[in-house]
Amino acid sequence: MTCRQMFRIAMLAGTVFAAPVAASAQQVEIGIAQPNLEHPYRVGGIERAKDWGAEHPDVKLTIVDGRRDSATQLSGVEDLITRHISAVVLSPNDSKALAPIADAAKRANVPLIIFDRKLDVPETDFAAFIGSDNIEMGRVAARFVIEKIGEEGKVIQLEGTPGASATVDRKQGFEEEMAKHPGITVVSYVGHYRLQEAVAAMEDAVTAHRDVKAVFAHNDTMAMGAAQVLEEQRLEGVATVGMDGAKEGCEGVASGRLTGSVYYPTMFPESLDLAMKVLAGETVEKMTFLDTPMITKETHDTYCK
Amino acid sequence: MSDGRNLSERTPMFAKGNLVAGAKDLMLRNIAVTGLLALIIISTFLSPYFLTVDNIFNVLRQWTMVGLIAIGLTYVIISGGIDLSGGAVLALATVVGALAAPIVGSAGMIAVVILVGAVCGYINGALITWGKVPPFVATLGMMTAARGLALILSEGRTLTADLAPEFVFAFGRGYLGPIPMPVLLTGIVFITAAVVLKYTVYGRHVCLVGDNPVGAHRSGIQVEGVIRSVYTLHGVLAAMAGLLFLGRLGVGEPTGGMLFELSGIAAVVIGGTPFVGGVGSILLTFVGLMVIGLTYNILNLLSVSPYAQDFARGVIIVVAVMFSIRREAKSRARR
Repeated sequence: MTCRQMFRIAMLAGTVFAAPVAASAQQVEIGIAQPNLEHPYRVGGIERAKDWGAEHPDVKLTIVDGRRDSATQLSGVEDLITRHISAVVLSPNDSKALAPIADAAKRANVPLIIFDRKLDVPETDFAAFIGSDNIEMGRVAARFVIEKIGEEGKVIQLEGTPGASATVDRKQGFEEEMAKHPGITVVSYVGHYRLQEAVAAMEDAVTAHRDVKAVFAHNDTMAMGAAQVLEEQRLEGVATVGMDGAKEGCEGVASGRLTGSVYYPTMFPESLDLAMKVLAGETVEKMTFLDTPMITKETHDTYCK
Repeated sequence: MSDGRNLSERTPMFAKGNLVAGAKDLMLRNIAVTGLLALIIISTFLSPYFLTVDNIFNVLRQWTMVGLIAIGLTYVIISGGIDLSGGAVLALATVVGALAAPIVGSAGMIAVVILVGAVCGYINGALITWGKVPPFVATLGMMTAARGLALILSEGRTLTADLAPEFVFAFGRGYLGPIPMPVLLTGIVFITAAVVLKYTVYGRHVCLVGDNPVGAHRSGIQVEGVIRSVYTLHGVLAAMAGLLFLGRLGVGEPTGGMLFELSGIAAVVIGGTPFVGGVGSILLTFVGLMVIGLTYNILNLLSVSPYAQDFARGVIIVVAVMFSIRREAKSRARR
């Protein structure tokens, strides 16, 4: 016990005092390639990665921003591979456009860990994949809604940007599960994952459907917008379910404005731990799927930190 | 456009004569007004929720932000230009507002936000007049840069703003009787902008600059100054839209106001203001805005599939503009 405490203090001291010095003595460098750094989900992931970095002063983390552009991300990751970085943790902007990177990494003998979005290459071409299933998230949300409102009633679905893979999958999972309950009617509106659009759509939706029993939104931002409209229009007892469970969703659930939010893991620090295992030569699962549990008042403390 | 007719002959809105004949003329010659009335009548039959006070005020409030940008765009387009930066300046304004509110208080924040909008607009005007950059390119640059700046300042996050309750009341969630405050504010701006455009020397100068810049210059008008002023006005109005965004939603969102500039442009052109400039009407821009807003609303009330909605909106915008241009051409041919 004392030994562990001492070790912790030493670690902390190490992070604080030795950080500038450590930079020169590092051997391990991991590159983190995000498709963009403007989405809250991506920003949240980077923050957790930095927390992990603070706990591992011997590892240097280099972050590459894809700027929502496959070519930019591709050249950014190529540069990392050219300087023989220890490992690359990548969430591809596009599963096909980024495929050539797997070959480059293999030739340079740089382990490639894919997270969140898949890369369109054979399984032998990357070290490991870690992600979650958006279709399953939709099902989890649907089951939760049924649990809250029972077998009958009207549910408003606020969809994300049409055509985006997350939108398609979340919608599919939700509607598949809801189809098993003939008493439930789902009406869909598009909120583009944004607050203002969601508020406007929700205002129209509740004008036409005053008898709504639950709202399911493809992300927490839209769910919070829906909650605002319900509050303004004094519609009470409507279940509000969001998705992602980042800062916004956690706060929403804590304040009671959201009934629940389906947690979508940021994949950090799990993907970095995975990279370390690969670098240590351990055998790892090729495909890891992290759970997407429901964040509710009861489970809030477990998933929101 | 310099065919010698004055504005009251070209835009029926201002035609003199008795009221009934004026209204008939307006209906016949302006597809936007006719279209709006048709839309309202058809929608009333289609949905029992449509023609209710709550719903109409909801729609008006939803479109206040695009409305303010559309007012600025009407001035810019009449002066012969275009501005694509409205939505991005709105986003920048919300982010700056959310950051400034805890430091300088709500009154100071309003001043800072308006200043940011004015600076963005003035830079557009300066690039166009001094830099000789075409308006499309200059404002495209501003659109990208302002959104980038909003992302830098907010570090990509949605910022929760710490706002005084008075501000939230006045700019977002308050009501005066049945009228939401943002609707009241936007209404005042619409009326002021319409009066300024029609009855003041400045308004006439904007039209003349768009109609005949050389003639305007020779008659002693500071053409470049007028151009800078309309872009500055547009920036200020986009920032005001940002204030409404903050008041209503309580957050600074770097991705907010996406594509508002395009909805604004659609409202202006449905209102019959031609892209070549010289003429136009703020009131018809309002009509155009309502054509778009009520189309969204009725499709939502009818729970039309979201994917079919985009298709329908596109068709409606194009058809509306096509008819308003045809009418214009026909009325010219008759003369």
